[in-house]
Amino acid sequence: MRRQFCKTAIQVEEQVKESFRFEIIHKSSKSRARVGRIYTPHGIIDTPAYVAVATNAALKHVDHRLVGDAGQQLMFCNTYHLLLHPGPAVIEAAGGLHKFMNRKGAIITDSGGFQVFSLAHGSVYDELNMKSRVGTNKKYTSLLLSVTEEGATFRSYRDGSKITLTPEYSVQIQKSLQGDIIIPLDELPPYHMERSKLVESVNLTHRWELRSLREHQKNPKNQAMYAVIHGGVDRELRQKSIEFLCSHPFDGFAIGGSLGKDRQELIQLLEFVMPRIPTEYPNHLLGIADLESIERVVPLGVDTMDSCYPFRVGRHGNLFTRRGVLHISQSKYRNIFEPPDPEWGLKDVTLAYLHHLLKAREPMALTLLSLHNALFMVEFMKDMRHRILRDEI
Amino acid sequence: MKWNVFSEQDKETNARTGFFSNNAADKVICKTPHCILVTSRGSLPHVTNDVLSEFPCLGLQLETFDFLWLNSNSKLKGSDILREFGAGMHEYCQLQPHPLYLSFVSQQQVDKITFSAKRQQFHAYQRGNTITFSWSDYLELVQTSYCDMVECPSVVTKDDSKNGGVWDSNRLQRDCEQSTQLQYEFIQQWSQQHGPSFEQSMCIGVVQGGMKEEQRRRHAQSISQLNGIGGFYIDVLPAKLTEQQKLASISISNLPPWLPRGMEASGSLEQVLALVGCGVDYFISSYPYILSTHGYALDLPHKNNLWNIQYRNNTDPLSLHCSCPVCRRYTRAYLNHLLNTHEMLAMTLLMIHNSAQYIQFFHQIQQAIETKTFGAFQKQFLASRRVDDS
Repeated sequence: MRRQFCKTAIQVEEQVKESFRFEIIHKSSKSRARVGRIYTPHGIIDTPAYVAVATNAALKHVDHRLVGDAGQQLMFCNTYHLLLHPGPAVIEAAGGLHKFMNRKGAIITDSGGFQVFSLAHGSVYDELNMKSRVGTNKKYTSLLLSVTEEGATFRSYRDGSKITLTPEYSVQIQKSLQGDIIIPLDELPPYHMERSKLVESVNLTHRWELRSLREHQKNPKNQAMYAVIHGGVDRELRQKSIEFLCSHPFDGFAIGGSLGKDRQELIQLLEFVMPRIPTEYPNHLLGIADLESIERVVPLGVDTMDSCYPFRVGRHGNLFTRRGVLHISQSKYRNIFEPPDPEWGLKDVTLAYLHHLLKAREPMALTLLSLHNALFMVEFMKDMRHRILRDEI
Repeated sequence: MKWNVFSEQDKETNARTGFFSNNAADKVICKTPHCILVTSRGSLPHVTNDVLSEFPCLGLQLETFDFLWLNSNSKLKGSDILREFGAGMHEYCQLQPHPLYLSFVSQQQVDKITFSAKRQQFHAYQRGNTITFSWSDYLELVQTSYCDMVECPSVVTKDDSKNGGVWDSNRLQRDCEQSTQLQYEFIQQWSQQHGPSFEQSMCIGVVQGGMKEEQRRRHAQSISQLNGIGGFYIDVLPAKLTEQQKLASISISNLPPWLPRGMEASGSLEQVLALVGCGVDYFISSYPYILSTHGYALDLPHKNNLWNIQYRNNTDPLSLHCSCPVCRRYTRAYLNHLLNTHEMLAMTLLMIHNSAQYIQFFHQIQQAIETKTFGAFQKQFLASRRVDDS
């Protein structure tokens, strides 16, 4: 894939290379799975890796310090929510997100593009099930005011103030947050969209991403920028997006946009996209990281993936174990005095005690269940990397 | 578990220090005056066990009602599960090495508890609900929980609204007599049927008497004469601090000085100081939790409401004189952000910090008593409090 750089881009690329680089340790002989290392100013990320989502600079119900100490190397923070509170000025004054939330490891921040989607359509589930079109999510539509060439304008859910998020402004906010990896502003089109509109959306996203890149290049600040490949489930558009983005000096590639209506469609899409992404750069799958999907996307060559799934299912009483997901609210767990998994996750609490806390609706149940799942994910990904090294995947 | 006096009473007040120690190893577990923090179903709210283990010596209170039945239809007995588990509440809830105090019933939870001698059943009346459990239910829970301190069962009557707010002396006297009898029988049955657990634990007698001074005096005297009592809990209904002090003093003056005395103190730090001055040794408290739920962080002698916008940019730790894990790692600005975005981590961090500060407060009290400066410490502490600190 030929990439044409101007002089400025070359200087920027060399500067970022000093603090950011990707190294492939091993490629599996059985699939496209690979073990790699992403070097960032705040630490190394062994890939493939699960990225925990700390939307408001905090993991839900769990002290991120505990999870970081256990080996969670990369965390995802949400620019849109941090813009609304406490604001980039406060975080910059604190010395950046790492200092503000006291996190030693690497942080990736997104652009706010997903919020443009969710404010218009609700959740991905709602949109896939056509709920957004029947107007049941009017409260979301009323927050998103317009999407134009300039950017996206919406109202803050905190105080109703109008905010226009342009590509440049999104990058400036991420510069203030000082995350290690940043993402350019993109528009996430819904799954149900006419092709002509999808083409317009992808083209708009490309223009936004280019503007974001230029803003980033003015002052790289030891940050790396990932491009976001769009195109919905349309292969032609995906190909076009890959070609366009690869011709610019991004430091990695995120697979975004609508990823299909179900896992089957997701896998088919990735089977098309992954071989077309340059392998010497790290890639990231946005918003997908349930256990089954991880098992299927890692062999396709995905390096990192983020999702709040482990924490969300934990809050609903589901524990990850190597023998499957345990629904801890079931009465059969009331007198099982073993930890959920003897080696992965929490080892000093019993299923009986967790069952008791959950049935009693104690907030501690949410903390312990989420923490267990977070720790389990760390071990799960470690095991995955070992299996790739042994060519078992 | 046993308790010994460490330093004699302060000359100006009745404040004194002591220490709880392990029966077998004679190892000091914690000094008094000290706090016993209220848990919820066996966990200190929002604080995981690994963090809890970092606190040096922290008493934890367990509620009987949290463990009598482990499900809502009252069919799964907590004692059965604990018996099957085999290792007691410390292991079940992962609360080691902290001493555990099993309360019979919390004043906040019930309006009234009565006992039917005919049916050998307790009836607890709780905001329209009635919880019924038998004498043996409580005894089995005590025996299987292996708590370090166990309250004797008693009857509680709080509702005096029908009588126009005036205590019915006859009823009060009957309740006190019944409580004394219940506690006597409990000690007898526990020591005879479950000798080893009785020997290891400290049996806490409950001193009652409502707001009537004479009744309280009599009940304190009768409870102190029971054999097998290892300490006392002075049951005082929510009232003004001056009334609490008066009732505490009356109770304490009729209790043996070589045994510890405890009270409930979730109100304020002033309440703790006043009651320490009366001679109370340990306090059952949910003060750190109450502060945390409202977004307050203790910064002795003050408390700061971290919801306040003034903390949005404040990069100081929660307290400049605290070395807890939260103050070592997080700032007021971050806590302000977490509160304003309704992140649950805020409660976790505030609980850790406030519990650490609360323990430090008790350490300061212990030091002041031992250096015979408790009076001056109390005056200085009260003088330095802000108007909104109470």
